[in-house]
Amino acid sequence: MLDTSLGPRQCPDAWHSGPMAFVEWYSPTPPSAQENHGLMYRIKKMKTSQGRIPGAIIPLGNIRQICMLSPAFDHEIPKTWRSDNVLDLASTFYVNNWSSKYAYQTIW
Amino acid sequence: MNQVKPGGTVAPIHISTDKTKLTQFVGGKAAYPVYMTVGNIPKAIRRKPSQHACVLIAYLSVDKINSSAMGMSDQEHRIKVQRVFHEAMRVVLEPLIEAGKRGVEMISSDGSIQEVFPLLSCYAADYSEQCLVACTKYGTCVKCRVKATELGNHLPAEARNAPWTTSIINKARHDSEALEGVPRNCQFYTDCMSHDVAGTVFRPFWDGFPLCDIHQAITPDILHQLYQGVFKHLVSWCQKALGARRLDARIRTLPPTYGVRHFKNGISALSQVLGGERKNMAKILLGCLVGAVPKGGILAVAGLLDFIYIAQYSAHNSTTLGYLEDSLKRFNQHREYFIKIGVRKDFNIPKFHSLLHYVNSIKLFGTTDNYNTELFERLHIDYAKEGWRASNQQDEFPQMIQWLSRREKIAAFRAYLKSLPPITQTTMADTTMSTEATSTHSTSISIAKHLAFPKSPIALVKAKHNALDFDHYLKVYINGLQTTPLPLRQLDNHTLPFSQVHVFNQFHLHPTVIHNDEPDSPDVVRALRKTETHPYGRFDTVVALVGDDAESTGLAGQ
Repeated sequence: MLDTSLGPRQCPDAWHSGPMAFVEWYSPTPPSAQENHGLMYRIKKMKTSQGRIPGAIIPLGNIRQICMLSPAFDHEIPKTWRSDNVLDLASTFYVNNWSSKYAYQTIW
Repeated sequence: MNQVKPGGTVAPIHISTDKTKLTQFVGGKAAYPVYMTVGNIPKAIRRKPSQHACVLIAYLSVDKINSSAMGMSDQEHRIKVQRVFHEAMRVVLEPLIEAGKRGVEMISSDGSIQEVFPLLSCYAADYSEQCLVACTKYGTCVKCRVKATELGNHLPAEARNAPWTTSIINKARHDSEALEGVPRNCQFYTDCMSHDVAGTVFRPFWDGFPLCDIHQAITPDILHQLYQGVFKHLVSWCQKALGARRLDARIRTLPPTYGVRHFKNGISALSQVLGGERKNMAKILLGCLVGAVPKGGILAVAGLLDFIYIAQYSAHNSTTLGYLEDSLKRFNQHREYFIKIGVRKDFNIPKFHSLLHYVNSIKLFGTTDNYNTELFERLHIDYAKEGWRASNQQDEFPQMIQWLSRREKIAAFRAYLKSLPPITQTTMADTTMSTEATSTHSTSISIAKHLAFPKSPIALVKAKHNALDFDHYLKVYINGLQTTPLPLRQLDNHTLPFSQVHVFNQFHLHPTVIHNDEPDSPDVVRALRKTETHPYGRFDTVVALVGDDAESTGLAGQ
């Protein structure tokens, strides 16, 4: 049942009934990883032409695994970067396939 | 005798010895347990202490030899300690000689009688103990005859083997006995050492064991050789290359990730680094080096990390063993970087050399999780530390042994009770239990029954979850479900038919099992909204499928 502004409505059968997730996409993984990046994929935050961060509502089951993003550090680390905000402040990351034995065998 | 009788069953015997402290701060009490397990037992059972597949067979002496009171030199003291070890091990393991030669009749689980030949085939220990066991000069390789100054070579030298080692010892003993005037021990010692054989023991405990080559039996050791040895060196070199403070600053800045330890003060301030901490450093090291270390250094580190990870695979074939060899080659090819920047003069380090022997050991004895010392380290808790706590800590070993044998009897009786046909009522309960257990494993995602935030206003979600375009993508999603979707640019003119959503703040992911391993504990994925104490919230990063039938994966964060 969907609680709409016009009162409760039955959802169509074709709709996904399980939990959903809202995700924001990073750039797709490049076709190959570079050696001087330790063969980790380099990904970036993106903006659409309307200035939005690309996102989507997806079924929770589409989420396959956890991944750790290691921020791409420049020579100096900006003073504002901290562990709890670095995902917001950094713009480029490496997909850390070393974060677990599972990640090592599934991301390459 | 050079083969087992046709029809006989081989039972490969794994032995491990490892000294452990019983008291943390005072007293200096230690135990020196000898563990035994059998190679025929599946590793999934062997690594569970509750299954009693590994048993304690002896405590070796930890009594101190008061060398100064007896007027012994350091060398004499060392000789004495090593001889006591070999004599004691011979007493403990001697029954294996006859049993291995003639076979022992045992009843197998199907009730038939088998002729079993127990053969000493694996010996797990840390490096100093490997040298002690294999009568090898400390600082050289226990498996091959490479010189200490050539440990950094890219290929192993001619293999050591038990007959060769015993022949060196016997010849040195014979020669030194013929001498007069010169102290015999001294001449024996020098003779042996000139062949990189430890000149301490006249008769190694393994001499005369059937079908046993002790040099081959020494197994690779993930914990001590890779993490606490090779990787420890690597971290210290990287700290020098990058500056310890700079590396710490990068480590501190990494985002929190489930399953990865966050070193909030960096790593250089850690005083005693445990195995688990080393493993966590290995997970993050390379990411912190990218951009600060030139390509050669990155490739060397990546090669060595590849080796460490691939060496732990729970299944191998010729392809993956090829990857293992290749990763070591990549490290060796690029390791010059550490010489160039002056943190290392050579690579004549026994633990680095030992990597050359991994592939052969895996081919002989199976994957490294079959003979990992971590398994035995875990047993210290049951077989040494708990027993120590149960004793009155005076003359403790007889008490510990009695305590342990009682526990073993209880466990054996429990196993017997389990093997009996169960009473009907419990069967019912058991079956419902087991179906529940399987159903949770078949789903790859589980989520709480109760919502963290039921009926959250969408505007609040946008603000607290840092999701400015949440409503837009809700519209896109619902629009996509319509039979006649609107053009996307018209969506802004429409309002959503609802204003609240249910919000969960975490779920559990059960990753698909690789290599028929036991399922790992699930990962927790969190999306914690911003609060006063956590002004940025926490939004984990995940890998998600872009479409329902997407083959390649896109990466997304929530």
